[in-house]
Amino acid sequence: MHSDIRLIKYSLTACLILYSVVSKAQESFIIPELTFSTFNMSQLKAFQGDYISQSGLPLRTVTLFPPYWGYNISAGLRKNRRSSFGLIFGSTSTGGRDDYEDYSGSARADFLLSSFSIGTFHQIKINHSNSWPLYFSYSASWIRTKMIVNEYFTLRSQNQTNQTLFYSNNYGIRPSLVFRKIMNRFYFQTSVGYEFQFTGKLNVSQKGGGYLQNFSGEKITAQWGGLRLSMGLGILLNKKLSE
Amino acid sequence: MKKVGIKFIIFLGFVAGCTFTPKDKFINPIKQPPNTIKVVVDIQDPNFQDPYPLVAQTTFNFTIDSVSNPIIDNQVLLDGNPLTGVIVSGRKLSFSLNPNTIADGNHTVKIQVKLDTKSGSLADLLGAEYYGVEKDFTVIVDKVLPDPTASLTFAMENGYLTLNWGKLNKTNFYYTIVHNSANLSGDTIILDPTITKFIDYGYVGGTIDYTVYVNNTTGSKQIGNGNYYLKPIALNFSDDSDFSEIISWNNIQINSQNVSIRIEGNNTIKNWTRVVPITQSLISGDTLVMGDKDAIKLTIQRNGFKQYQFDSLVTFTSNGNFSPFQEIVSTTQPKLFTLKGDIKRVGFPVFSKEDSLSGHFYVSIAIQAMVISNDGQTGMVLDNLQKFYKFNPNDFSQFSSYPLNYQGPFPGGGSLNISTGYNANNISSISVNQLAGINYVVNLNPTDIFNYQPRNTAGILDIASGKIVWSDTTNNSSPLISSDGNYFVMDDSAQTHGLIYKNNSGSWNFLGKVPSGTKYFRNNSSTELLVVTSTNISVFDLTKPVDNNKNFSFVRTFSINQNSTVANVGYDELSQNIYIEYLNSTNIGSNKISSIKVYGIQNFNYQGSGDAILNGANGPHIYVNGYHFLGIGYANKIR
Repeated sequence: MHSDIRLIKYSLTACLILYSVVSKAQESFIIPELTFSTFNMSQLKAFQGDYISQSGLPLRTVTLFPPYWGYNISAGLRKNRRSSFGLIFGSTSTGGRDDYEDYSGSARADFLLSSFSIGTFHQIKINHSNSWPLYFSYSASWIRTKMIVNEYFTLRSQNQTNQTLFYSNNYGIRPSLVFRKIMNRFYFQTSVGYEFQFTGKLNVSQKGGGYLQNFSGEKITAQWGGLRLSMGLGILLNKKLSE
Repeated sequence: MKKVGIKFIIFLGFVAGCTFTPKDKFINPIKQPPNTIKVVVDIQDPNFQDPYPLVAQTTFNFTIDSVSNPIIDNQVLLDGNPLTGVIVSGRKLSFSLNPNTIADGNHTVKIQVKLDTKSGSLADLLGAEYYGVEKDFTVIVDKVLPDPTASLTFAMENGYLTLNWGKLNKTNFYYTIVHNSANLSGDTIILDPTITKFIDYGYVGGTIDYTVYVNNTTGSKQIGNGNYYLKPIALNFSDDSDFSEIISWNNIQINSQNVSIRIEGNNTIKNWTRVVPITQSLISGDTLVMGDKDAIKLTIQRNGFKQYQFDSLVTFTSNGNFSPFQEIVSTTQPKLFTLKGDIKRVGFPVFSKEDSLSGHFYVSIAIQAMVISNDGQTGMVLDNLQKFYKFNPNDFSQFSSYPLNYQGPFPGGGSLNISTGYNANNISSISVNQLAGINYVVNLNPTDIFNYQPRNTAGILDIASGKIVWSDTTNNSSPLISSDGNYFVMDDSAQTHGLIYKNNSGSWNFLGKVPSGTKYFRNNSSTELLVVTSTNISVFDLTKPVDNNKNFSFVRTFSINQNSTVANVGYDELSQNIYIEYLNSTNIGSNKISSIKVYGIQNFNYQGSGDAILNGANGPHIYVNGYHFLGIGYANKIR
């Protein structure tokens, strides 16, 4: 919890710095985006099967880390007519579930993953239209992952629960294509890209220590890599140059 | 546009506040099993009762019947204390109780079992869902044995030996019945202490001893002892219509179900064994050897009770069914004439005595040899005083001394009348025209003794006229004359050849020579002569020409198998068969087994065989017309 608050503080500080820079720039922009992402998560998917085998219970995998919604907030400066750069913040989540239930009781294991990312981006205009500009964008970011494993067991009137937290740090690179429609000071933006990540081990605490391992003793990571779709409505804060 | 932007930001804020939460579930649709099931707990022992008298270390085997649910947990308590060593296999549960470790008195045994519901639910898998089953019973431990009772009584009930004894005043024991017999020494344990009788289903006769004990883990007491004897069958010996021995039995005293009787030659020189159901009542066929005087071994046994067998050694002498003889002569009627002191005429094939010399006379003479013409019309004998007698084979009342008259030239000159005295050496044969082959010595008058040396003379005697019609004064042989009187054969004085003579209108002409050996003329208008040695049987046709040395050549010859010792070779004209008597190389004591094998004279094809025991007292073993005969009075068909 403390780490989350700290992360928010860092993010707000970065926003203020960015705002001060942006307010003095030739032209700056900020855009919140809704994202839809797919996730590799092959290690965690396999771990779900291991978990069932090890439990000795008749669990079934019912949820297997599906694509899910998230958001991005980007703020940038226009360097010249053709390129701009800035900071990007993001968050998304997914999860898996092993579950069994009958008249005598139930057993369940939920694997809930969420991530927060912060990074920089640089985008280059690749056409000549001023009202329908198209950009190639790439970004590099640091991703913080939090995984919550919730175990529930009920047998007749007896209940038992358990929760375990894991954390990891990843680094990602995302190339994407960005399409904009300029409408006076506002603009609509949509993008498609692919996230490549260097994944870090999931620790049982924020400071390392024990790791999440599979049957073979291999350490498991959160593989957030995958397709990224986004859509947002941005604002040009100090529009001085015509497109 | 501002409104759209504000709405989008609000929507984005809403989305940002949501993190992924799984919603899917897996619900197994199995139904909850019934709360109770009907369970029957059964002990696998028909003698089990509650309360149970524990008299020995006992293993209790309980089965959960009526359901197929397996046992997942169990506990057996004795007076509330858990027992160790409980074994579970499927739905069976077993444990042992030893009265030695339990104090006298009543004790409660409680069996607690958990049965799997087999619902497959989460609770079932974790062992938290089961049917509880309980069964309890009482065991009584009393280690003081009851007092002995009266003695045992025996009876055959339904063919089974049954022991009875009085009821005892307690039931805290088990019985041990100890058997003892020639083949049996074992215990039968009877767990039910309430019985007062024991049926011995294995007993099939003989002497058997029983001792009944009561036992528990502290010791045993004898309550009765006795023995019983039963002769299970009456054994009989007889002959069938083929004169084969029959061993039969009757008066069966035991239940004959699944009972077999085994009969085997014991200490005979021919081993044989026959096993038949006791209900068969008899065995026949190739069992006893003719003349066998040794014992047979009898064994009676019921299937499944091998050690109970009844053994008996029965001395058996096969029955004589024929007139004892030292010699048999057969004629074509057919009739058999036996000689052993007396002369008897026996019917054939029914061996009925028809006439005997002793039936008409006091037989004071000691008959040495007997010959009868093939047609059975003329017979002569030679006694030990070297005198001939003539008799009518069809009527033994016609039996008289036969004076031998000879009148002829004296070899040294003058004349000789041998009616004044002679000594007959032998008589070998008589033809149907009453010519006899004989050998004799003339008793000379004292006045002649200086001129004539007595010598054995071979001669042909004309019985009707009493004259010697041919003689050889330097020959020890007795001429063998053919049945029709046309030929005779006689060994030469050196006994190296047989000399054949043919009757030519009253004069006898030398015809030729055959090898030395026993000779048989064939009958039935045949002109064949058999010469038999221990290695060969040669057949000569006397109508065939002789070679330059006057030797006949055989027309066929047969070699005699020499695998066993050849004791005798003979020829039977009635059946026209050759027979060879072999003596087995294996024998016991003075007993030897004599096997007669019979072959046809034409092709020497095998006809059959018959065995007999030979020893110093059994006499000759011969073959006549399909039967073999033993001198002590046995006849049996060749098989």
